[in-house]
Amino acid sequence: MIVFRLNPSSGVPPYLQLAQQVRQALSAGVLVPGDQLPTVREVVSQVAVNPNTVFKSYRELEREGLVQGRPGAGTFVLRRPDGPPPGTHARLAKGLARWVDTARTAGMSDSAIEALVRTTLDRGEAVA
Amino acid sequence: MTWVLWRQHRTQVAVLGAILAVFAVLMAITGNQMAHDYEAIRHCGDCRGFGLTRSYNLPRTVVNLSVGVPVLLGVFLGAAMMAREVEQATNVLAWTQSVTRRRWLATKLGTVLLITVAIAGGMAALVTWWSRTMNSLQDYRFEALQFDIQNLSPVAYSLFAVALGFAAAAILRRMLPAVGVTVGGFFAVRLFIELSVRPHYAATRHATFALFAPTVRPRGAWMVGTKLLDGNGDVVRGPLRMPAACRAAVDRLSADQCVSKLGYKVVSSFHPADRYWPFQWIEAGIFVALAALLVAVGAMVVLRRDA
Amino acid sequence: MTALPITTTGLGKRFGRTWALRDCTFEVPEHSLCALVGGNGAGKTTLLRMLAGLSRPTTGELEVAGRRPADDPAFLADVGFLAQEIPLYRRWTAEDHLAFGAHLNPRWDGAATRDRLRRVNIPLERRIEALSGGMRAQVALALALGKRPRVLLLDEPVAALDPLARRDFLGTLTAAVADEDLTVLLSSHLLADLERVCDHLVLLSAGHLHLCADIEEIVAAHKVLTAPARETAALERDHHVIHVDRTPRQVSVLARMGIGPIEDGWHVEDVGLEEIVLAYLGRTESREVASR
Repeated sequence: MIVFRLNPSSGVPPYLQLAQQVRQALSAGVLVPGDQLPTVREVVSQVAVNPNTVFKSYRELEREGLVQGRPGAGTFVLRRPDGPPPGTHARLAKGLARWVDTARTAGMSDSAIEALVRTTLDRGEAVA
Repeated sequence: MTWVLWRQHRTQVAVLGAILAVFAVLMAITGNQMAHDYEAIRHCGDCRGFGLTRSYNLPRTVVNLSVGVPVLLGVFLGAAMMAREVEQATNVLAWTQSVTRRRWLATKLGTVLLITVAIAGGMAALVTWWSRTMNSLQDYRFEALQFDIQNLSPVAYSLFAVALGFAAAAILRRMLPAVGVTVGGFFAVRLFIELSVRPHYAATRHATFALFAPTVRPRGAWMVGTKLLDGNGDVVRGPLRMPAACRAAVDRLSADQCVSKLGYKVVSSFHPADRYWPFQWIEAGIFVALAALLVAVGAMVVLRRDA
Repeated sequence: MTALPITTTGLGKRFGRTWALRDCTFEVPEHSLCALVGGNGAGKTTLLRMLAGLSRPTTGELEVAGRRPADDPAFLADVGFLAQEIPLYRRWTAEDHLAFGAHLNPRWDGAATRDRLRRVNIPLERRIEALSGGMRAQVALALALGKRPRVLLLDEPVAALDPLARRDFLGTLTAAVADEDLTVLLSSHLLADLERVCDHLVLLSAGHLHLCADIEEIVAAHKVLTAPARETAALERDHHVIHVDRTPRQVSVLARMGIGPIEDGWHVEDVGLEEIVLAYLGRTESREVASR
């Protein structure tokens, strides 16, 4: 079962934050197809949020085809989101950490690293 | 609702019940002892009574202090019943459950008045039973203090005091002011009735005595007052001034004889013993009626006013 | 169709010569968690007490759960109320309060109430006077929820609670709304909490109603417009200007957007609920009522 958190100062609407946390749990393999998501009641008593917010985020995930609501039973995971299989994330993270080390040794500040990553991502978008 | 009232008032009931029980034990022991002592001396003529009354001073004081029971009940049952709820806002809690304010109030008042009758009735019964020896000895039960603590009147006073406490708390909504009004109001009304109203429940009878003869109290009567009348039958107010005709008297004895000859006399007014029960009923009736009025006023305030 | 949980028409309350609430007309939709917001003395408590049937309106009409407030068991069973003072019997235990609720409410749900208190670790055998403020609030909330009302009215219940107790309290409340057929009207000053927990908003200021709408709609309808110093008259023709900040160089306007066009030159930005509420509260003299 996953634990939800809400960051009030992130500026991201709460229902998107919840949906994103489910997607992350799916990508990381914390949740697998067939698992039941926490009920609305469980989520709201945990993070004290309007029940509609939870409904909305589950509907969003349903629209993406990741989960399915079964009336009277709950909401269940259908499939993992598109993307690399579990483990990929950890492997890439390790590589990235090595790269960041290299960049820092080369004298780059954190904000310069961030800017570089941003530019690279943007260029990637433009190419694709 | 009954459970709620029991939970709310069980401490008060326990404390009052314990006080009543201690009082009952004291009364039972001394009451029996005194009756026994009285049996031993009842045939000895003039000696009876004096030693007896003196040796029971302590229980007698306790019995006489029971005159304060009604006002205590007024404070601890009447004023506390409403004021504590309002001060802690628990009336708001009670009035937002599924029970109507009307039913809440009716049950609460009913229970508290019932407790009042039980405690005051028990107390009055004990005092009346205990006083039977003193009553047969001196027969003072019609006199002011004894009339107030035996038989019906103490129960009626208690109902009045509790109703006064409830009404004061309902209107003032604060414990201390409500207690003040209960105590002050109770004594004001009680004294007013006792001094200015009760003597007039029936026309007093009169007995006339010579100026320096001892005035005789009819057995069991309530002596309301005595007046000094001059030779013309007018009431003499203030201290007796020596009339002009007697100023020449050389000594006390001749002066007294001179004044008596002028027709001065003493008139006592009293209510005879057989009026005791009618007076008890009238007194009780008045206070129960006042209690009913106060309960009605208090209830109207509670039901009509915004919480 | 069932009656709306709360409707009022021209509702007013006068204490002596001053009006605590005036000409208040709004409705709260079924199954919503509605925030009641306003400054001190705005009339929030007055409104909630009239809705709970504890006090009578001077003018106007109101219905809660389809009934006019009255000294009537059916009305009382449908409406729950938690007063600001969090009244409880100080010398009673939580267990005593459960028995109190069970004796006075025909629809009492003892199992759910125990469950709620167990989840937040309330010692049932301890006297209320020995509990913390947060625990007391939980007991009072459980008592109000246990009677299974259709409408629950809460008067600043979290004002005195620490952040953790507040989250637990709101968690219990939102869980109850998720479980039951329940509509909640909740007054508070804590806008961040309200924005997260509530989906509807009623805004009072100085005894008058300023807003009553869905929170998302409110946020979507309000914008901040900024421009180099210029007149706002044209803007005010088509849009409802709530608040204007002016410096010699720049003007910034918070407005509820109408359907008309916006002149060129205005930079339009989204704005959060908190800023919108503050703009309304700062504007006591104007008394237009906005409704959906």
